[in-house]
Amino acid sequence: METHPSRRAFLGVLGTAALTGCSGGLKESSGGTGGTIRIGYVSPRTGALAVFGESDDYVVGTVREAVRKGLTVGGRSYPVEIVTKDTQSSAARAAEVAAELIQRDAVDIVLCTSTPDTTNPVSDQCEAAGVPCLATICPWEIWAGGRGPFTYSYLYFVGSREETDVFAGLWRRLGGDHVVGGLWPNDVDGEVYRRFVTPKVKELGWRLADSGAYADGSTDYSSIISAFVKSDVDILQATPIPPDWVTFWRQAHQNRFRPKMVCVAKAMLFPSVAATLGPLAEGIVSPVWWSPSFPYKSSLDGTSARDLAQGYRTATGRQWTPPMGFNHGLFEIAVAALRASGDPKDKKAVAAAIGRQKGEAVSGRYDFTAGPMKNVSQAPDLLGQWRANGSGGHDLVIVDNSLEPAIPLQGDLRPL
Amino acid sequence: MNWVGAVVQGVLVGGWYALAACGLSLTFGIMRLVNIAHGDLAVCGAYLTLVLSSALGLPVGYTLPLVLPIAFAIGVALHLLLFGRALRGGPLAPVLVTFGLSVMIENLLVAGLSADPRSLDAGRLALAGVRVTAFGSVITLSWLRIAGFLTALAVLGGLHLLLARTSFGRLVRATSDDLDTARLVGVRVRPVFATVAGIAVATAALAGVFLGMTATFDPYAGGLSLIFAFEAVVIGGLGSLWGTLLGGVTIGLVQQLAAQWDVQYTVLAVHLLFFAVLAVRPQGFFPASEPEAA
Repeated sequence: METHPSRRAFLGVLGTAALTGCSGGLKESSGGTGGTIRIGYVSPRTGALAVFGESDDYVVGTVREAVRKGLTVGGRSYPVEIVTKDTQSSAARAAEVAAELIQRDAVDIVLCTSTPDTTNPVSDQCEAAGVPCLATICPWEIWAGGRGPFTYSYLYFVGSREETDVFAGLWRRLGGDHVVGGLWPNDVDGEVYRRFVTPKVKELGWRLADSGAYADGSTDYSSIISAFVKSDVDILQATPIPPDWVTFWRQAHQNRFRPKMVCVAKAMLFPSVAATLGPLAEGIVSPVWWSPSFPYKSSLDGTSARDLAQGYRTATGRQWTPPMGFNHGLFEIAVAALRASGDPKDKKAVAAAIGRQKGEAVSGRYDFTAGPMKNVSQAPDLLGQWRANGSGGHDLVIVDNSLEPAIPLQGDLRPL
Repeated sequence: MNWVGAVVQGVLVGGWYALAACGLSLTFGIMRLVNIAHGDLAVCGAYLTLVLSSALGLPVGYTLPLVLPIAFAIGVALHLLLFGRALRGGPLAPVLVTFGLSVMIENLLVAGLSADPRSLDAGRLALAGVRVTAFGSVITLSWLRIAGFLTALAVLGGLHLLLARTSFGRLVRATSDDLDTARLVGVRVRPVFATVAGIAVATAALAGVFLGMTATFDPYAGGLSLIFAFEAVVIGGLGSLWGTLLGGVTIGLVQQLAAQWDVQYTVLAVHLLFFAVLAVRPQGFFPASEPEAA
């Protein structure tokens, strides 16, 4: 997004509240050029969730390049314009920018990504306004829970129940009986894991030590750690936000808490967090929804997963992030649906077309016709283990592919 | 955790809160300046240490002789450029100016250093713990927490001596007591206040370094630190340094004891305590009634 740095500087000076009106005004406003297809893209780029959006400039840039010549739908050619919006990591702001996209920018489809705080308010806005919406990076149970029925909004991502099953499969590889410690904060992800893992541990006949719903952003975990030590926790299952995980895991070392297996969803998805932990990242298990080793390529221009990650590295000097693949996939599905709609300006037709989509993107296979529920395409969830790569950093090595054997394993699980 | 362990951990954690709060207590007690950007300045201290230690290849501890003078200089500059003017602009101006400063610091840090959570690597000591037996129960304590507590004691003690025993301290106390009279008898107020602001920012930076070693920081970490620091100052008594230590320890204790019951209520318990203190004893436990307490 070209206006990004200047807008950020603006933010610093003006504060947040006064800006609502200005930020829209800074962007190219929508003229009435009926022939252009406008795609809105909502993601957190600043604030606590900024790590999810850090690759956006690159991903959106590659998509812009791939659709530079426009799309041909039903014999007519349409130029494509992508309008990006930042949620500033706030759910309220996400709803606000979605409304802006719908009303001011008159977009034909809205894409939204990264955590329930983005996907749910944006999907709600689109559903209410009758604008096609495609979301990702929010477990589908959280996206669908208590909302719906869905006509215009769709989701493409993994599910928490399936993820719990995959984790449980991994725990069973250790053999014998265990005590699972659940480090689940007082937020949506923490609650969902508590809901799915608690019965799972009971089913296995093991004991569970629940941390209790601590507040995100806590800086001291000594009471939780000593409760885990006291209950002999040897498998840790955690869904903290990234900074809290680094804090917790360091304090776990300080307080001599060393479980046999450490499974961390959410926080350990990101190479930057592994880099912050340094040697402490060794052996931590994390879900893998996307990695450069996935054997898929972009349906827009044929770029492979590896090349996408490498391109990002070359352009920015930073390591790949898991959201890259899914965010790119979102654009691919949107383009496929716009093409299949027959008329990209007909919102009902575009929305219905998403529901018929089935194919392959750089993120993997998607299929909206066979989801766990209507309007959802469930992606497979793999597990990886962070391992030292010999050059001072850590790589995520895929150790479980039971849900998608087409993606190759890269190593065996090693106990901590 | 057992109760003995909770109490000991609470006191140690409280030391950090006191360290984070003492600069705030100082600027408020002496200059009547509520510095909303105090937490962000602490985070800046952590980033400065990170940048210096990776640029010079030095361990975190060795960069402190560089970080603290730089932080002091930043504090002096902030006073001369911003705080001094703001203080002349009525009671609301300092709050607005420092709030703006806080928003600016956060966004500049995001723009310049990204939103990644960072932490400071203090080597093996930072990951080591010690087991002690007290009152028949075994407690594991982190060396880093112990070091943080001792540092807080040293800083607060040093500041107390500085204010109570030195001629500079006499100037500060006189200025804080009666600004106009101090001016009349020839005290040059600007350098005195600028020095105090420098000391406050240096202590904030030190608190930021400990935050970086025990936990993580990101550009937005300052807000939460500020809230707890502010509560420590109010609970302890506005403007009183020993009160601030007590306020910090009280917050640490309440957090740990509430966690024994349910970790969900640790933050709430602190806020409730804060509310109760405001309602029942708004001047705090040890208000700075005597100028000696500064």
